[in-house]
Amino acid sequence: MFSFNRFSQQFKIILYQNAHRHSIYLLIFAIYMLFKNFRYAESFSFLNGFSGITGNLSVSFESFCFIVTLIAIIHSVEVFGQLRSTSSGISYLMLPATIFEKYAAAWIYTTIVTFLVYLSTYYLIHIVTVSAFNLFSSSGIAYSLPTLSQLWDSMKDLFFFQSLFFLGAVVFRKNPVGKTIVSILICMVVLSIIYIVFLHHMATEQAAYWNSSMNLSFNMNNLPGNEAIKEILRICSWLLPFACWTGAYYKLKSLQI
Amino acid sequence: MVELKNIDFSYSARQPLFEDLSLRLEAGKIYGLLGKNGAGKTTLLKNVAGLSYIKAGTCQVFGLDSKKRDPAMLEKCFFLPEEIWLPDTTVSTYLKMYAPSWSQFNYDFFRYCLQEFEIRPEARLKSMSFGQRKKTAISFALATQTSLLMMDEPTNGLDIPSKSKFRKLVAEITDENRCIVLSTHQVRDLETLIDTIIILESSKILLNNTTDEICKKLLFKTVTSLDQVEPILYSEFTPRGFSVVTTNPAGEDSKIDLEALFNVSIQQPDLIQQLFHA
Repeated sequence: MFSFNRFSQQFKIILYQNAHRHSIYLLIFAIYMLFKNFRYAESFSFLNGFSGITGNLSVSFESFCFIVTLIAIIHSVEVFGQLRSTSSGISYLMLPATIFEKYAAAWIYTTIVTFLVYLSTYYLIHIVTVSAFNLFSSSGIAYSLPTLSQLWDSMKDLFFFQSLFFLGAVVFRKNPVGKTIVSILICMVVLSIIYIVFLHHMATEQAAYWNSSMNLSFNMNNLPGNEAIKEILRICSWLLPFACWTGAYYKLKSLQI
Repeated sequence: MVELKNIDFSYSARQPLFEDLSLRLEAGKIYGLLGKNGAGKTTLLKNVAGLSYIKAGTCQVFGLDSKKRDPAMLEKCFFLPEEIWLPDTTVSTYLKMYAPSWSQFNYDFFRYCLQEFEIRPEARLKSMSFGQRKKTAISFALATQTSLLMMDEPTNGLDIPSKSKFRKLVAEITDENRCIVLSTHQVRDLETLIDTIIILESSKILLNNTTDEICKKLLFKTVTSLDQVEPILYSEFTPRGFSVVTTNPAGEDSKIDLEALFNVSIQQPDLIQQLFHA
């Protein structure tokens, strides 16, 4: 039976345990974003002074997406840091809460909470910087906030990479980052080989068709099955995070120290 | 409280650690779990705590299957491993972080234990010595007030005064509703505390008896000459004479010598089986 009290207690433990280190990451991010915003606003007001243009300013949302995904990966590895040694693993598993409550606290912290905290910081810094520039230089810089679709895309990226390292942190108790990266690389090599074999097979089939029809134009995109592969990859990229999260849960549940 | 029935456990298929092992732990007792290195003392505690799964048989703690790690079981059960882990924070923050997980946690008793062990609440755990961290972890374990408290080598790393304080604090929390299991090689440290001895040998429980029961059947004494006693089950030369263990047909009173008891059990397991399981 899920208990909100136990869940919040687990969440509190994660917060306390990581507060110091994670606030340093957030501070570094805030300084970096402040610097980025400042540089953009400064260049905008400089251009504005010459040409009188007004309009939107792109404040490197890509940087935000990259950093927040990286942070989510780091948080995912650190949130299960206690599993790395036997003594800390015992302490973790003996805490009076269900595995689901422990898992849910870790999951929410490394996905939604991380994303929202960093997004709020991003917004806050952008709004403060732009407002300050507008106030002191009357540049008329418009706020450049990401659209909902941009936010959703960045969240999808975060889920994708976070899920891989979240699973890696539970499966590989020692050196989870290195082992997860190696596993991803191995999977990519295997998938690439399968794809090349598949392409080779398709190309052979199409060559036979060209020979029979005297059609000599070769286009990779016209290979039969290419659209299907793209669709499969798209579905896989959607399903992979759920598969990794489910795998992480069951691995955590059956974990023995 | 804890019931293990016919359990099998092994880390590798070739070498079984426990075979058809059964054990019952009851409230109101302080068990001393003894065994040679690799006999499986820590593993047995982990099996009870649900940290490693038995291969066959049943392991029930408070009527619940231990491997399910039910919060109802975990809230009444605390396992302090030999190598302790504490987060990188101060003692008081550690308390704030973890203590609310145990609804019966006694904050006053925790502070009292810290005071007894001379640990400052504002001290940073990472900057403490191993012994100080161990004392903090012991204080926490005792203050959880769980009905089942399992401690693996609790006195390792403690200085001499702290060992006495440890015995005093354990004695203070002992009551008829609580079961304490102390797994140790340092039998002399805990001799006065333990009331029931469990000896683990050759994948089985060789002995599971109270000190009173043991002293009724075995006599522990020091003699100047081995001719003075007959039959001798175990003897060890000491500067004060021979420390011996013999049978006790006359029902004489003696003070248990855990080290001698352990040695006689390991050297003559069949005799011990015969004496205590007949």
